[in-house]
Amino acid sequence: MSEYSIVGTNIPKVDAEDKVTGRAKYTADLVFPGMLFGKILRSPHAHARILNINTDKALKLRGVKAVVTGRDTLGTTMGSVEVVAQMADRYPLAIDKVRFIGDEVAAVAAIDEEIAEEALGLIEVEYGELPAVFDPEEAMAPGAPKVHEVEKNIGLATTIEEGDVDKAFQEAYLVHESRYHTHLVQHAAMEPHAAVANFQNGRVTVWTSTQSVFVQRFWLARLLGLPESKVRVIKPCVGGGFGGKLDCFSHEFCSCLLSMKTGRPVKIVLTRKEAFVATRTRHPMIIHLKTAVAKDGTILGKECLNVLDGGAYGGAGVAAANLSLIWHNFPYKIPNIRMKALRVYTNNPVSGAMRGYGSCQIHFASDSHMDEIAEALHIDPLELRLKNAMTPNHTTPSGLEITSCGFSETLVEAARGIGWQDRKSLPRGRGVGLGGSGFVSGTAFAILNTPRNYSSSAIVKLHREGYATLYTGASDIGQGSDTTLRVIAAEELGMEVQDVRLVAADTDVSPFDSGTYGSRVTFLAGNAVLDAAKDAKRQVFEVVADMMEANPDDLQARNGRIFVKGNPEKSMSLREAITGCQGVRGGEEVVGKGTFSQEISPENIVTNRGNYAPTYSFSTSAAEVEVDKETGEVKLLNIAFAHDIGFPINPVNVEGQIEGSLQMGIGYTLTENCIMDRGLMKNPSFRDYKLPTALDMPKIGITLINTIDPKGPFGAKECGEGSTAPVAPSIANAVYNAIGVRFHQLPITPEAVLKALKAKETK
Amino acid sequence: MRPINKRIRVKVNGDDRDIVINANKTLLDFLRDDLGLTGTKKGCDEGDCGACTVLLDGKAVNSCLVPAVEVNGKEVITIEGLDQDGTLDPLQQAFIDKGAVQCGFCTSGMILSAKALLMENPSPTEEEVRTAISGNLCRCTGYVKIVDAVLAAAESGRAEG
Repeated sequence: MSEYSIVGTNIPKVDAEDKVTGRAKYTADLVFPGMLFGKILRSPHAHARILNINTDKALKLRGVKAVVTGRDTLGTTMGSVEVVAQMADRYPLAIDKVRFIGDEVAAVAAIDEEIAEEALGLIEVEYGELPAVFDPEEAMAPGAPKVHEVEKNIGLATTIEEGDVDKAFQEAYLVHESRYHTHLVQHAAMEPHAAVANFQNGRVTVWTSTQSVFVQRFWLARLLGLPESKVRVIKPCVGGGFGGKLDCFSHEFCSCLLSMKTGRPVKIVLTRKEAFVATRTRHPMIIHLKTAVAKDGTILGKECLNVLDGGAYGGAGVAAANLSLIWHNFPYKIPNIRMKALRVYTNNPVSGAMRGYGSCQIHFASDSHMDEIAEALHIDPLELRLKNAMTPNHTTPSGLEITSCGFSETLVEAARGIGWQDRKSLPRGRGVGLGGSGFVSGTAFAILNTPRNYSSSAIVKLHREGYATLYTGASDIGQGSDTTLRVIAAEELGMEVQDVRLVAADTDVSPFDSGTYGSRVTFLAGNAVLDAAKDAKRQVFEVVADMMEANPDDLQARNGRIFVKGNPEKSMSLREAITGCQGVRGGEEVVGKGTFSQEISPENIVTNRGNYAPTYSFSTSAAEVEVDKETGEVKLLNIAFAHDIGFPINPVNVEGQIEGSLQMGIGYTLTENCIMDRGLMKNPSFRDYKLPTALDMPKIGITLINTIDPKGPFGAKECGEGSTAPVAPSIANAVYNAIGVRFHQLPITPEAVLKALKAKETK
Repeated sequence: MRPINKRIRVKVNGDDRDIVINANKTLLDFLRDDLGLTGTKKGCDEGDCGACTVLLDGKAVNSCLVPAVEVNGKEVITIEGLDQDGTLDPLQQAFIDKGAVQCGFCTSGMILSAKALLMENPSPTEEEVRTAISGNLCRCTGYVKIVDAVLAAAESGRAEG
């Protein structure tokens, strides 16, 4: 008999049937009586003053019920939260100026979408164009146009320095220096952003496609000038987020404001083009890296400068600057560090959080860097990585506390899976490459919420019929947390998964949870749920122990029954037990409470010192490519991937998440690119922004390494985010292995390959 | 600009509908807004993502590219029309069993593209499956378990048939 009844087995997702039958309701599916449709007017200029707005003609159009501009708002800014309040740099509707093509200027509510669209064309806006800047290095240069009133357009500068990097450089056998450049890509969740707001009885209820109902409530209350008790945010089914639905957006605010003005529900659904241009993107980065190594390959020190193109505003993107420095410390032991990150404003679309939160960019650079070092030292790239790999119970110079760590195992497994030992016998034009990474599991990074509230809480109520209701604030955006949390509760309570009801992501009834980001849901919410289930169970056990004349510590709940360990005949059904418990306690409900939080102070965030997460996950990607020298096409044949998961609560779901991560990493490396021309996105459609299709995926092999984390629920760690980062370096390193061309820039398109091959020939 | 209204008669999920609609409407908006069948999704409204796939006279089409007036006299099947009186189609069951559903937004379109394939070719190869769903974008699954599910459904369909 396995230690667990359910955990660790392949469990069908609890919402799968609703999704395969079309019953699942996403925000755009919601319909309310009297509902109006909203549309947003956006700036056509990358940088301009707003001189005048005239909405008269739009208001006169038959079917239009309200038109709002910045004049109708309270003038409150939105952005990141109290800890870095200076980064709240954006008005939900522009007041004095616009800072990127797509910036929100006005909103209309009408009886149908067509009329709303027509009304947008009738709003007269007088702009005074300003000089604009589209490159972060240019934005920092003297004389550059000022996007915001900050010096050199630097929205956030942050550093870490530990040990003596200069000494390391002096003593090094080799000092290797390179510069890497990553590009603009997008989440491209299949469901475009949408919100429906209904202001009634002095309260506004908002249904929105979001990754965090509590973050939305915080900002909407502020922007609307309402107490949080008058704002209710509910998350319907969400069709993917990947970090792009974490921030509070203008359309969410506008749906509320328009509902307040009209007294009717207002729905705003973004078009695909709006989703591309006016939501969030991944930070393009320029990464300067300088690493000192000993002759045997031991890393002695690392210096880096990350310049992030933040786009026109801050928001959740602010965290990427600090995190970009944290990622540089993974997945190898580095005793001396000097690192700096600058998040720079430009008149480009807004960069935000995107799966990996900077780790994809950083690991592309630093794991390509590792291969370059390996070549310079004539050391096998696998051996170099194994030599420097983080190990269990290691603390980094800046205070990151690695507890469970299976990075070396992931290296060995991925290398084995790709046939690393036989790479020398590959035919010409074929190559293999490795990429490694580490990631936070359960980040408590408070930047996305007020300092006290970086926790997750849960409530479990037991019903006398023998089933339970689980209350959580956690947001399922498709990654499967609704299922995982029900599984955790069911395992602990000895129930079937279908006997655990779920109430989730509704600010009126859910316990606090700051949202789905930083790979925190299974870890933080999962632990809170486990805690709450244990609390409820303990209350029942105390009563049952009396009834059975046993010790509460000797009881176990499994398969719908409570029994004495080692004496299974002495048992009673959960139904009897819960009813009995209520009876003994005068009818009192059996309610368990649980919380999990991580100690992290505002000082940690500002200084980048201390431990960022309760634990960390590790991954290695090994890629095999075949490069066609005639067409430049990089054909991805095979990926062998290994991930230190701690323990997979639902293995089929873990694999699914990793497989999705790989798709995103592959697109990032080879085909995806938002093509910009002076602030204008030239390809805001799936025709021209190339996502990998079913025909573009290689053979995939996944190995899970079970290190059983001491703090994870059932030993589990994250899997959905850290697994994206090692893909790019593994492919880039494989391409180098195949054709001897090193790419310091993404994406590696056929044009880029042909250009590089030509340059190589002419040398 | 006054809208032009046209009357269409179309069979949707086995039900005969006789309805007057705005002639500008796409089949997608007609299904979602006029008939309340929100299982068909709008991912891009430009024919690039496949989330809006439905069966039109047995062929998989992007409903955002079909003018609603064109379905007059034809038969449309959406995701809501797949199950037989509550019994799931083998494809739907396979998607659940194989873990092929994550956020679910591409799922309706995926299943219908696969349905069209299996109706024409009950024993597809993996390559044929991938080609049939190559117009359906997914951002969550990497397509791995979706392909597994379609192949499994084909097998169970052959076992029953």
